[in-house]
Amino acid sequence: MSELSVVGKNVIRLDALEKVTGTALYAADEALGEPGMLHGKVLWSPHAHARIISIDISRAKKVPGVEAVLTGKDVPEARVGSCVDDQHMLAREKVRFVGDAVAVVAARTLEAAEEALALIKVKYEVLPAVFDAEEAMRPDCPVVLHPGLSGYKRNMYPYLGNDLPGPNVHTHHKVRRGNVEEGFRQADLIVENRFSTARISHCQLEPASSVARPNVDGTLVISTSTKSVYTGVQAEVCRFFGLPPSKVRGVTHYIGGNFGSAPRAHIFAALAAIRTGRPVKVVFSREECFFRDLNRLPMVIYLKDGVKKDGTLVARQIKLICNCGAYAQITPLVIRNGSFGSSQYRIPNFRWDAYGVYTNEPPSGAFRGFGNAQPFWAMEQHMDIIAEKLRMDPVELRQKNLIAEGEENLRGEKTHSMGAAECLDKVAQWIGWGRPTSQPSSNTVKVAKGFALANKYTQVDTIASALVRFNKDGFVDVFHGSDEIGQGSQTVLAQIAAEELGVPVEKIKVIWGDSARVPYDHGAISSRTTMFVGNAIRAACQDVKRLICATASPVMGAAPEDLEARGGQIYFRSNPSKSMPVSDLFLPGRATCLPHDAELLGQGTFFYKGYSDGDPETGQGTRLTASYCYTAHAVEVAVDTETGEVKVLRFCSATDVGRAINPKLCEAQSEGGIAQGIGSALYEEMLLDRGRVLNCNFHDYGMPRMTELPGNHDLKCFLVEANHREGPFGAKGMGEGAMTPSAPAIANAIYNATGVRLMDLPMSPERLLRALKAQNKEAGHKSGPL
Amino acid sequence: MKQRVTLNINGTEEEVYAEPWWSLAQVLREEFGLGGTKIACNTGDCGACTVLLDGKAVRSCLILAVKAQGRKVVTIEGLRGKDGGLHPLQQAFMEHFAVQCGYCTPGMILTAKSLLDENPAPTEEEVREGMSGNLCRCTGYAKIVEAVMAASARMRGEHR
Amino acid sequence: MHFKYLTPNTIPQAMALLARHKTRATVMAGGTDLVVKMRSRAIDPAYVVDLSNIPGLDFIDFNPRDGLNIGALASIRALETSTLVGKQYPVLQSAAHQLASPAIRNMATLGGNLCNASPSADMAPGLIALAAKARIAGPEGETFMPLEEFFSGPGKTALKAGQVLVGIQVPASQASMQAVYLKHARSSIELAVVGVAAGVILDSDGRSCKDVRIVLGAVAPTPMRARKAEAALLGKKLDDKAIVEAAEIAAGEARPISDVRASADYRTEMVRVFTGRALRVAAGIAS
Repeated sequence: MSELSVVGKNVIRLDALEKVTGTALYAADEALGEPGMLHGKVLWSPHAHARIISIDISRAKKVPGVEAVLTGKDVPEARVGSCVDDQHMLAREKVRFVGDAVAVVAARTLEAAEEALALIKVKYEVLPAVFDAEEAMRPDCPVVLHPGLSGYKRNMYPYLGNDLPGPNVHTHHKVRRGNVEEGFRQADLIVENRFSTARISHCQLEPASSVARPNVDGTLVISTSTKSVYTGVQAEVCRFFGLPPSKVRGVTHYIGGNFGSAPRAHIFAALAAIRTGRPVKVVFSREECFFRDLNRLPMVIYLKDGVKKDGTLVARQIKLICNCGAYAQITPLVIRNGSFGSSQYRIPNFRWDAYGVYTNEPPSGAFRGFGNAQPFWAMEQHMDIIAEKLRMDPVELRQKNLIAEGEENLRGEKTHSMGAAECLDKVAQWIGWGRPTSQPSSNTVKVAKGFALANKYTQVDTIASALVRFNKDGFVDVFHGSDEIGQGSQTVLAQIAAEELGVPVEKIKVIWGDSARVPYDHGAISSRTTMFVGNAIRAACQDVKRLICATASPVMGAAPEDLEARGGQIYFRSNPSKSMPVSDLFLPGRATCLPHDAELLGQGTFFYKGYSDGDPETGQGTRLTASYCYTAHAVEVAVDTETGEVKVLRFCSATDVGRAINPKLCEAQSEGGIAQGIGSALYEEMLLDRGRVLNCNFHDYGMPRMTELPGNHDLKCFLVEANHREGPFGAKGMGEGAMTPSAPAIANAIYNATGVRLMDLPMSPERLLRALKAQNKEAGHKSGPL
Repeated sequence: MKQRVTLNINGTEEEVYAEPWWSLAQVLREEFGLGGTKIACNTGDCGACTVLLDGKAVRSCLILAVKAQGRKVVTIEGLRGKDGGLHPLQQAFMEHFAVQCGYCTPGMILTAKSLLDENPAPTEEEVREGMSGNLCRCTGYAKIVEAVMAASARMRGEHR
Repeated sequence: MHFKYLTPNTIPQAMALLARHKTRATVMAGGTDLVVKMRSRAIDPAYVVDLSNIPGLDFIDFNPRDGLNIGALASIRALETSTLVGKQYPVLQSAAHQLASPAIRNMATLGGNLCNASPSADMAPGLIALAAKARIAGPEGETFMPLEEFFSGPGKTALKAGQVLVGIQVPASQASMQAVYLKHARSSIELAVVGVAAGVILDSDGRSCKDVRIVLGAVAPTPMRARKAEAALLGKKLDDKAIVEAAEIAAGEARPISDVRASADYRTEMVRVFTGRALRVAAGIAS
C-alpha cells in the first residue's frame, strides 16, 4: 500500500472542542427550559411477578398540569420485542419484573408528573416468581412467565426457538463440530468446571433521555440517547407503534456513553407524544437506568475440555444457561453471537448448547463484548488449569492451539487477519512473564501475574451507506448513519475520507444522527462502524471522484478515465503537473459543468454479499462474521490475604486492530476496556433481592475510580496490525474486544498469587477471603495430625 | 413557592426565581440553558455536575439553588479566557485524547481546575486521588490524568 | 421534595424554628447527605432550616486549656487542610481526608457528618477516640455531651427538639494520644465497610498502655467503642500478642449487619484485621 498521509495519524478528535467547552449537545440537553415541553415519567412495577387487577388513574389525572395518564389500555394490542415479540410497552395483564412499565404520565412540569405518578393506584395479585435461571429452566418449573411463548412472533433467527427444554426457555443455540464424545475418549486429560458471571450495568454517564415531537404533518421526530437512528430508533418506533418509516424521524446527538445499553426512554416519550399530540421529554433517573438499560447477561457456564498430553485440545463441550430476565429483548442474538469467541483455538470436536431463560429479573441485553466475555471467563481460566496440570507454560499452550491464518475455524470460516499470537507475545514480554514480580510478596500480600487471550467478532449481516459531497470551497461533507457514542468514529471516518480524497482532514465535515438527513446505517454496534461505514465512505469518495472526473472531462478536454481527482485538484494522469482545481467546476459562466451551483455528490454502500446464516443444527457456515479482533491482557496483582482485596498493580493489553486509523483512539478504547474489565472482574455486580436491584446508584455499585487503576507508568496498550483485506486500509473493529480477556486474566493472576481459583464473578474481597479461608482449612486438614 | 435568587454566573449577575428544592445544577441547565453542567447520578457520586462555587469545586446536584444565593458560580461555559481562548486544561484534554463520550468532561476539567488552583504541581498520585470523586466510564482515566499533568506543567510555564 | 427553606441568622432563631416545627423540620448544613436523602424520599421534611447563614460557626481553634474547638459548620475540607488540626490531632485530618471526594468535602461540614448519624460516618470514630464532646445549644442554654453518647441509632442523635449541635471540643489532654483512623472501603469515595479508630497513650515507660480507645464504625447501629478490647489492653504492654488478642475481642464486640456493601461475617472479620492494623500503627509497631 502506498504511503498514507492521514490514516495512521493521531488526528485530534473532531468533537473534542465542543466537548471540552461544554457546548456538545446530548439528548438530555435538548429542550432545556423549553416552554410547552411536557415531561414524562413512568410508573414501574414494584413486584417481580403479579397480575394487574385494576389501575385507578382518576386522582392522577386531576393533578394540575397533567396532560395524559396512559396505561396498558393505551398501547398497541400487538406484543413487541427485539428478537421475540413478548412484551407490551406498558403492561396489560401481568407485570414480570420489578421495573416493568405500568403507566406513563405526561405533565407540564416534572413535579406535576411525579405527583401524578404517586397518585396512580394499582391493585396487584402477587404471583410466585422465579429468579434463578437453572431453576426456571426446569421442564417442571411451576412459574411460567410467558405461557403463550410458542405463539409469539420471532423477528430474527427463528430457529433459536427450536428444541426448547422447558416452558421458560426462549432460546436454544447449538454449535456442533466433530464428535465430542469421541474427542473426550481420545483425551489424556479432562477438565470440567462450573463458572458463573454477574449481572453488570453499563453505567454510561448520560442517563437515558429522549424528546419526541409530533409534527403537524403526522411525522414523529424522536431524539434519543440510544444509538442507531435507523435500527435503534426509527425501525423500532415504527414496529412498536405500527407506523411507516416515512412518519418517524430518528435523531441522535452526541451520546454520553453506550456500551450496548438500550434503556429506550424514547418508547415512552413517543407514546406520550402520540397520545397528547405535544412534545414530550423523558429522562430516566440513574436508578431507572440500572433496571431498564438491559444489563450484561448473567450466565452459568458448564465447561468440559479434553486435551492430549502434549497440550493439543481435542474436545470442548460447553453448556450455558443465561438469565435473560422477564423479556427476551436482544438476548437470543447475544447468546448466538457469544459463541463466536471460541473460534480462536483449533478444536476438532466442539459442542455448544446455550439456553436463554426467562426469569422475573430485569431483562438483560447487549454489553461490550456481546456475550463473548462470559464464555471467556470460563474458557481462559481452563487454559491455565490445563497448562498447570500438564506442567506446560500457559503462553505456550495457547500458542500451540491458536488457529492459523487461512485455517478453517470451528464454525467453518476461513481464518483471516489473525494477530493473536503477536498479541500474546507482546503482553507476555511487557509484563515479564516468567520473571519476578515488580514487588515481592509478603506474609499477607501476595503478588503474581496472569494473562488471558480473547476476541470479539464484528457482525457480518449489516449494511452501511454513505454520501460524500464535494463543496465549492474545497470542504467535503460526509453523511452517514452511525453514531458518536464516545468511541471517536467521526474522527476515524473523517480520516478515511480525507485519505481517500487526498484532502486535509480539517476540510472534512462529518454529518450524522438524523434519519431524515443521512443515509441508512445499522448504527454503532458490534465494533462495525470503522469497517462498514468506513468502507461505504471510501466507496462514496471513489464515486464522487468519478463524478468530478466526468464533470471535468469536457472542460479539460480529456476522457474521464484519463483524469484523476486528488486533493481538491483534477490532474491529467499522463501529465500530473497539469491540473485544475475542483472548485473551478463551480465557476459561474461554466454552465456546461455545474449549472446553478449543483452538487458533486457521491454515494457508496457496503455489505457482505456472501455471508451465511449458519446451519440451525450445527452453527456451521462459511462466512458468519465480518472480522475478529484479538485482545490479550496481562496483569500483575497484589492480593491482601487478610482482607481479600485485590490491587491491580500493572496492566498490559495488546489488540489486533487490523490497522489503526487513529492509534490514540484505539489506545483510548483499550484503556477504557481495561477499566471496565477490572470493574467486571473485581467490583461490579447488580445485587438483587427477589428481583429488586439493591444497589442502583454509583456509591453502592462498584464502577472503578481513578485510584483503582494502575498508574500511567504501569499501564501499556499495544496495537497489533494484522491487516484485514476487506477493511478500509486494513482496519477492523476493535472497541468491544477491549474488555473480553480482563476477568480471566485477573483470575489467573489471583490463582498464581494465592492458589485460589474463583469461578464466580465478581472476585469481591468477601468472596476471595472466603475462598482463602476454605483453602487454609483444607490445607490444615491435609497437613494436620491424623 | 419560588424564591428570588441572585447569582453571579460566569461573571454576570443573574437573577432567577427557583423552587427551594431545585438544585443548582437543575437551575443552571433549565433556567440558564447552561447544558455543559451534566447530571449523571444526582447523588453526588460521579462529579459530572461539578462547578466552581466561590472558586471551589462542588457538586451542583447537591446544592439547592437557594443555598447558592449571592455566590459566584463558574461553569464549563465560563472557563474560557476573556479573549475566548481555551483554558490550558481544555487544550490539554483535547491534545491528550482525554475526551471520549464527553459526558464527564466538564466536571473533570472543573475538578482539575480546582485541584491545580490548590496544588499547582501535583504528582500523578495526587491527581488520581484528588479526582477520584469523578467517574468516567469510557477512558479508563489514563489520558485524563495525562492531560491534567500536562496542563499543570504548561500552566507552570514548563513545556511538554 | 416539597419544603419551605428557612435561613435563620442566629442560633436562637434556629432553635426557635426547630422548636416550632419540631419533627416537620430538618436542619441543613452542607446538604451533601440531606439532599440525597430528601431526593430519595428517605425523609420528606416540610421545613428545611439551613444554618449556613449563621455567622461564626465555621471556626477551628486550639488553646491549651480547652483543647481543640471546631464549629459545626467547619467544612471537612477545612479540617483536612488545617495545619492546626494536622499538628495537634492528625487522626482528624486523616479521617477528613478519607471522607468522600474533595468536591464533597468542600461542601460537607463536621456538624452535618455527625448529625447525619450514619453508622459509617468517617469523622465519628476518630473524634470518639479523642474523647471529643458535642457542644449543644438548646432552649436551656449550652451543654456538653460526650460524643460517644451523641448517636442513638442509624440517622438518630440525642438532640432534642429545639437543640442544635454548634460545635465539637477535643480535650487538650488528648493531644498526646497516638491515634489513627483506618477505613476499609473500595476507595475513600465509598462508604466504609468497616472503620476503625484506635488511640493509645503510652506510659512514661513508653511500652505499656496508659489509655486506649478503640472505636468501630459501620458495624453497629451507631459508632461504638470496643470497651472489652480496650480493657484487655489497659495497663498491658502493647505488643503484638496483646494486639492480636484485643483485635479478636473487638471483633466479638461488633454487632454488624449484612447489607449491599458486605456481610455481617465479613465485617466482623474486618474488625479483627483493622483493629489489629490500627493498634499496630498507633503503638508504632506497624510493619
